[in-house]
Amino acid sequence: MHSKIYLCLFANIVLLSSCKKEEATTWESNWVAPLAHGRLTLSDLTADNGYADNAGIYHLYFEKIISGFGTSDLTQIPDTNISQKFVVPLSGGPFQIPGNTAIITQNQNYSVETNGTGLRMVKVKSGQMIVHVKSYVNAYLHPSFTLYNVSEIYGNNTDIDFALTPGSAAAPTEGYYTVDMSNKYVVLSGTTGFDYNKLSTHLEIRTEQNTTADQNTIFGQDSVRFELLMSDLIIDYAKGYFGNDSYSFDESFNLAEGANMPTGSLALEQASLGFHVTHKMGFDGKLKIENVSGSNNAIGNTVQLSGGNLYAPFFITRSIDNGGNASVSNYDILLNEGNSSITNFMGNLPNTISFQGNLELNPFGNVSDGNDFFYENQLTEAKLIVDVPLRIAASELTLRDTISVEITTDAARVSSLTLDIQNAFPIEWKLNLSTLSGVFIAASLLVPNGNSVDALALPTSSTLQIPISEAQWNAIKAEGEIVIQVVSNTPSFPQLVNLYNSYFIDIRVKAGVILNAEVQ
Amino acid sequence: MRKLILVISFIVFGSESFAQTSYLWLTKSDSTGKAFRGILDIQGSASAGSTFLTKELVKPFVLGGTVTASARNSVLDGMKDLGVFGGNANVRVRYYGGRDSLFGSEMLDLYIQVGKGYFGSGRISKDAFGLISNGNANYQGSRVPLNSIQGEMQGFQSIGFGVYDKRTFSSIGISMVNGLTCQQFSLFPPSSFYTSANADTLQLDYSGEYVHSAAARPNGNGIGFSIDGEYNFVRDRGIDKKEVWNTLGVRNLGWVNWNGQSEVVSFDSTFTWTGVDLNAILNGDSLLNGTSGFADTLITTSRNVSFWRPLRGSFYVRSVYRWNEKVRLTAGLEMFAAPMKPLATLGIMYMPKSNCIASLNVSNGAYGNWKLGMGVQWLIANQFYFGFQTSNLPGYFFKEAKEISASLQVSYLFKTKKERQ
Repeated sequence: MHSKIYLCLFANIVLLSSCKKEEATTWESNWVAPLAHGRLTLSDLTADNGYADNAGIYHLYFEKIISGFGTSDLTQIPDTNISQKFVVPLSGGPFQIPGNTAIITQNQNYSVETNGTGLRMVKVKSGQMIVHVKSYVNAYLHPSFTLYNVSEIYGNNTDIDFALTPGSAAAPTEGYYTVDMSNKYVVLSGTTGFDYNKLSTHLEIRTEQNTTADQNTIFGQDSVRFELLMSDLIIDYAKGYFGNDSYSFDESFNLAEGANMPTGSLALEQASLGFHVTHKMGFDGKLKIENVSGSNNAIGNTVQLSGGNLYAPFFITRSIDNGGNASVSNYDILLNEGNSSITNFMGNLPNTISFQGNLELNPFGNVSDGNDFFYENQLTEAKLIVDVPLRIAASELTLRDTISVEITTDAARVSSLTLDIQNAFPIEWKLNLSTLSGVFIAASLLVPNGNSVDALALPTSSTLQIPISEAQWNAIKAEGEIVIQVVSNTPSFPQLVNLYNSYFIDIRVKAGVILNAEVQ
Repeated sequence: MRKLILVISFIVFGSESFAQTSYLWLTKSDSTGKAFRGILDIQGSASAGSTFLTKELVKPFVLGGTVTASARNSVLDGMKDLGVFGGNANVRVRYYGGRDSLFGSEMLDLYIQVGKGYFGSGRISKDAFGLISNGNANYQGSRVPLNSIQGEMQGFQSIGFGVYDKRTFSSIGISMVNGLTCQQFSLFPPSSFYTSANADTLQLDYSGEYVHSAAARPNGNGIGFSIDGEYNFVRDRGIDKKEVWNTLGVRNLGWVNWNGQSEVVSFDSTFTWTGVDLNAILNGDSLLNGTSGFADTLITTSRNVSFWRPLRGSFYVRSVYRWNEKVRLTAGLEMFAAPMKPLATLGIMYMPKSNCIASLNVSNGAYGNWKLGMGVQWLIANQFYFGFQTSNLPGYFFKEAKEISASLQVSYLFKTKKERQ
């Protein structure tokens, strides 16, 4: 009897100790939650690329700098290493030279590389000049090197002194000096004052003042080598003759960054395109636009813009330097539906606009006598300005976009989407949703056009129900992307409707969510 | 197999009527107080019950698996405004001394006991339970109060002693309690979850406290005491239709002072969600950029405190009426602290032999509502005692059952010298 009792107790202990929960507890619950809401106006939809005119009609407005004419396009001083050997003007030897005796004195113009332009003066924004001297002379030397007209104050010099112990052919003594060129004027007109790209210098090498003759033993043809290294010089201001070269432009840019232009029929009126040049540099030029064309990548169609005097060359006149402020001259080409093909051009709904042209510098030669100039912060630029008043007619105008949906959790599944919409636009929309591989989610969900009267926004209400099955959800989750296609139609196409700044669309998106709760 | 393990574990550990003196003991005692020379008594009990939670719904939380929608809806359909749930598990070893006398009285002696127990309970409103279990889809346009949500759990060890009367097993004793763990979670008004009529706004107001002792450690997190006592008296002993054994008792009435390492975490804030601003999305924000999530609004303050908490004590009365030689009628009432309800019991005992009882009872209260209990007691050779009992027999067989419990009592009654001779 006792043994049975003990056996039962033991069995119970063993069984209890093995009683562990082997799988999680799970249950599903149904939740509804708002996902997103907001009022979208034309300003929101165009990322503020627009404005309302006096009548309240909204204009799409893009300004794009299609070419900035930079200083590096004109001239620059590349890293340059100038090396020269100076020889003691004696023969024979040895000579015992007392202290403070000049043994080499020389003025020198060094040529500076400027990428083909002729510079007379620059102001350096940043960079440095390194002077390196190497003595093969068995004497205590004191080389003095002067950079004429190199200073933060225009016209002042920069003096550099070295003290070198005796050297030899096998073991020369060396000295270094680094000149910070930031904010320094550098006159490059040489010792004559009329040259281009000439840096004027003076060199004097003396024996050290407090030395005796027996300390300075010099042979004829002993040498001292100088090196001048210009490094990372950035020009802030330049004056000279910038030459007669031609510069080509070949630019391509998106009309609206990130926008996915629609397909379909869109009629526009009163669109205009302006080509605006602001010239702030001290040279004459001849500018010629060779081509402006817009491409709709979705349909593969390219339309060239034509009309007006768009492709006629025009001259731009040099700016005048008013003591640091360059005068500004403006040049405009304005294209509209009356003088160009702008309506067809914009009706093509271009994603990309290509622009080719060229600029010829100083077409009349060096008429300024070496007084071309530029300031690094006052440059010439060309700007494209597009102004499209939203008077449109749309027929099956289709915008297709892909949005990324990264779902990393199994804890929740969206079972439905509900869109409550108030639409004041005089445009009817049809919404289609699918995955990238074509798994159907919803089709032809209709948002009726609003009843707005001119600028008075009168919205219509609609509710779109989008049930999402588990299979559809799994497809969305697997592919990570949803394709949204919006088809737009205006009433009585091709009759134009005005889109006013007061129009809006209110959207509330709610989701039905099945939550998979899990307790370990 | 796991079901079998669960059943066995409930049989091994207990019932709510745990610790009441066995009727067989009472009937075997006599006015000399020398019927036994000491008793070693081991009891274990466990119970879990609710006014609304069914076994079908709770089972996946114990064994794992899916809580089905039908189980949740079945519970909701049967639920009234406020649902209560709870449970406990206890083991106790008590030794009744067998010395000849105490304080000069041959009728008295000491008992000593050690025990360990856990109990917990909670409550939740029907709407709050519906929200948590089924989501807010059915609560659009309404605010679901959450301040009904409260829960508490304590665990403790005890060691104590007392004095008992050998004739009736009436006793009084005190135990020192070593608190192991104490967890209490409460939401206060205006805690609620609001879903607007068209589900464009969700709002969670949460205000409450989470009180908990320090992490469990062998030497405990609190110290306290508890009192156990029982007064048994009989009228017209041995006479059919006259004999009545009455019991007045108090069980586990005590308090624990949880030490200063305990922490009170308070929170009081509101989280409102209306979705992401579409303009922000157009400006390139991702779905969650620029919005404050729930975690951002969850501001808590905490402080370390020492505090007193009562144990799950009770007062009880019981009467056993001798109908005839083989049948006894029983009635009892046990009073608990909230949220447990008073437990009222009516039952019948059948004694085919003088050392064997089979009992059946109907009761209402404690964690749940109506239940049908059953038990057997057997005294073998006037020396080995076994008692099995459950307060709700259907709990083992029906998935709709809302309570399941079991108790086991194993005792060894030491015989007197005279009896052994």
